[in-house]
Amino acid sequence: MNLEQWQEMLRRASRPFIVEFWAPWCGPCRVMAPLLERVAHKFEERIDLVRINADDSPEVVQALGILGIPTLIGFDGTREVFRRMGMQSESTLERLFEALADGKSSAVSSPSLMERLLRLVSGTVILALGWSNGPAVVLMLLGAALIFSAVYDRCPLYNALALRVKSWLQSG
Amino acid sequence: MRVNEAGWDRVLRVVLGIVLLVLGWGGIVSGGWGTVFKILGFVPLLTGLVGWCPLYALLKVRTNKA
Repeated sequence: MNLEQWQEMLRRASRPFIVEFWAPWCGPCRVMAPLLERVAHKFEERIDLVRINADDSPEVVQALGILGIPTLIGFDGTREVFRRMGMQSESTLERLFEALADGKSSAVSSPSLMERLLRLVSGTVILALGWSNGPAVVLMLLGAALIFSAVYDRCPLYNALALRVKSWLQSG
Repeated sequence: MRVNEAGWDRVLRVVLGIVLLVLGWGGIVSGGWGTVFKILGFVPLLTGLVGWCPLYALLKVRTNKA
């Protein structure tokens, strides 16, 4: 898919849809594919699923700022409402589809650019204040936590760990 | 917990919180006021970051669109 085709698809979208960026060589994409298809089938009356091969669509990958695959992006009209990077469990996929279908995407939405900036700036200031006060470990931890909260959803390591913890909790 | 602060409100609170924390923890203001700023700074900072003000909720006001 090239950029023009993508923009045309965005313009023509008549209902919410989820885009998956994948590649044939990507292991997590292969594992997630049947889960995604199963959930997409369940919601096929309300949500469209668009699967884009990242290798064949470099323009779209660049335009949307895709940092890794698999990446799922939920769109309501032309508006991006959430973005998830890394493999997702079936229950998470269901939650994402359901939220988008019910128009409650704020419950699963990623932080906005303004929120990220506020967290990054305040986290950095608190981290610096902690460092210059002793260092004060509690302040530094708070600063680090704020900085991490600005980017956690883009962190593949966090996504992989969160997935393991979730599946461990569900099985236990 | 629904967001009840507008974007400008949140930015203002975060800036105010950072200023108070820098004044307190940075040692610019010392003594009793310094201690007050060290603690009080977290209030606007956290309410700004979360986007929800308990006082607004109590008074049933909001600065963002419903």
